[in-house]
Amino acid sequence: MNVMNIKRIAAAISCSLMTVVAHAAVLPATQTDSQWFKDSAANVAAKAQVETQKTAKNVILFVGDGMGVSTLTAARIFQGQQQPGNQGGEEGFLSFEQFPHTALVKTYNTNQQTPDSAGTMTAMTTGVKTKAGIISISDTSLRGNCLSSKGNELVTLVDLANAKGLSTGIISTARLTHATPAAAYAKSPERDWEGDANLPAEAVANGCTDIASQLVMRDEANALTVALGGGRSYFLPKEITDGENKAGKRKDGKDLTKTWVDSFSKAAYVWDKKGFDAVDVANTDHLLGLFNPSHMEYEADRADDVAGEPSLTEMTTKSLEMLKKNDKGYLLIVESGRIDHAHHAGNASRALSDAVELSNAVKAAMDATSSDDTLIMVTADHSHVFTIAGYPKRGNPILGLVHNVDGSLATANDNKPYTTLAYTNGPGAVVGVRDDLTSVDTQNKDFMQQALIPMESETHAGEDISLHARGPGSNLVQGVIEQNVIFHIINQAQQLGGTKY
Amino acid sequence: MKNRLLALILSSVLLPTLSLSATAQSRMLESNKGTSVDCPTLIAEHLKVQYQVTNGKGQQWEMTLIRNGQDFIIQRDAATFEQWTSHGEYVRYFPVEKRSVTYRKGDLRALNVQHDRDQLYHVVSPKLQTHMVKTQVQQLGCFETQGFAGKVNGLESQLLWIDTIGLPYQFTLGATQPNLDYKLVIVEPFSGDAYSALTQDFQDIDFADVGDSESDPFIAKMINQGFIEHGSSGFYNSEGQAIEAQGGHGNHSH
Repeated sequence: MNVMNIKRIAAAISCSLMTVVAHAAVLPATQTDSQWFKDSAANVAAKAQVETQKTAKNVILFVGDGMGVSTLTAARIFQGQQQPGNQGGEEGFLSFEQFPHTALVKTYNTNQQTPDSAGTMTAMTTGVKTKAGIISISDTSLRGNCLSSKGNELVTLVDLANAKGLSTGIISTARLTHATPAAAYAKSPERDWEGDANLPAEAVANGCTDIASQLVMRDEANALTVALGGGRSYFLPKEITDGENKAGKRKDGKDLTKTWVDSFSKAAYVWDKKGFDAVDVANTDHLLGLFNPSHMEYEADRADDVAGEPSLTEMTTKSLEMLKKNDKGYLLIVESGRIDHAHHAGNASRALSDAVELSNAVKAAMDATSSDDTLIMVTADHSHVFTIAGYPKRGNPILGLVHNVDGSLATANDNKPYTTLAYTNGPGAVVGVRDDLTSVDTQNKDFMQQALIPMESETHAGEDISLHARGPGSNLVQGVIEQNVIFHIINQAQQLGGTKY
Repeated sequence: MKNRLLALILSSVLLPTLSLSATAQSRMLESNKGTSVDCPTLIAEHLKVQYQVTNGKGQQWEMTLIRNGQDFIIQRDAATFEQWTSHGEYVRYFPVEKRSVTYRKGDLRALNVQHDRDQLYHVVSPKLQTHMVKTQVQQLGCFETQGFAGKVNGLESQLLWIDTIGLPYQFTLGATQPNLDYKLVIVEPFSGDAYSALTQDFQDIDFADVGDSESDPFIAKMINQGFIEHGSSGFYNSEGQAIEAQGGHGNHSH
């Protein structure tokens, strides 16, 4: 579909709107004078004026790990309720929720109805669905078997962008070697092969390499311009203790942070907030930042980090400064990795804080780019069994106990109160008698939500997740799509040459 | 629920243990006048101590505490031991499998696990002394001990405290009818290198990654045995059973 066609459709919608307006006189004033009516009419009018370019110079893909639709809704209210003068919090939007184009995305892996991050991110970065646990290798491979992966490696968006001469960047608040960011740049039949010490003998014998080394051991032409996140221990030998007094995990003696600096032109390595803030963007062409031995801190705990960590917003902003130096354009993939972890722990507060921070990072990207030449997409890899339940009154604290519209405390059949947010399964599960939460501060960030089915770790969910887009090519984001379509949208919008478009 | 809360309160004072395999290089040997020992030079931050614990039913077990600066290891049985680091991390080790699970501060908070680091480091919380009255000073073996007496959790109790190493020589909860008794049986220096060797070559996993690792046979086994979450509380009741994190709800079964 070209711009002309889009304009024709927009014109048709506009005519339709005019028809509505022409008949508005039959609507009662109590309806047309309603702010709800006015705001929504203006919203539709604005949508009718949307024009979408076809070709994107730059693409930024944001992935909220485990950020299902219920997380978006709760995070939106969580954010709204912290804003002065809010009307309850429900009325707000996360930054990307007002993007003009949205789709629902089917997330299943080729072997799992409810997916994991390795298979889902592989779908997004290669256009091909695969098995759970496998990183950018087709599903003809066996998980954890190096030999079977040979010949089944997939070309990723990062490979294509680098081949086109674009700059590329990866950001994650998880370890950079974790499944989601790894699927953007590495090929591995096992997501757990993050460092060389994790490789079994079969993998070594058949020439598979660990994920950390695949991030660093690259030709200059195929090197990442920016890589920021956690996971430092997989880049350092076990003989080295890092600045936060944690030993590395590599057994091969390699210091991959040094390799990064030695291998690439104008390369820099930073590991704390102070170093990050001091990066000379103008004179740095390859920046590696590893801010934690493992995953970076939850946003709610970031201020307590030993050496200090940049926020997701700060990492996004700095990366864009770096990437913009390339006149040909760039591809940046940003993961908020710890929404997933907080959900696994049954801790809604931290999951929502991290989701809001992702929204902030997207806002920073919106402010730093133009929708004329930059496609921004925001999605998740999968959902979680996270629910928003009961009939709380408007403005009821999203982390609080349910209060009815009349303000009374809602109780369940056991005559005990319950929270709006809960999980279908996980560590907060009730076996036997349910705790009475009447005097419990459920809004405390450490509160663990109640759950139904007892499991040590709350699980992913299998329902669709959402995709939000603005900028050139965003009109391709529509309907219900398979997750691997995301690759093709980017490939087409940025003309990466991975297909016959 | 009340039992669970009571157990949690008790555990914040007491740390029963099971058994351990350790070679003592110097032993505390009691004599009629106290304890006669081959007195090593001891640094409070670099030592290994072992306690014999006896409960009200006459059951006995042992616990070992090893300090390395502000890091310390507690071993309660041969299958596992636990390390608490100065960064607030809790690591549970499985020596047979050579695997470990690290709970970082954020993980512990997300699980709503709270602990009294002072109590763990000193076996008996130093705060306890403020609720008791001083009795006599005794020389027991190598150590000068300060006696304390008073009610703990409603039970008359006695404490013999070694101030130089910040540990109890003996602590008896329920003086007339002992509920629990801790008695120091081994104390020896322990070097930083020896400490580091205890945790070498373990394949570690973050607790945050457990949710994405259920295909890992070790993780699946540990989850089924209830080790993963329960271990994170660091608290055990007077039967040596793990007490769940405070954020847990109802009667968590495994």
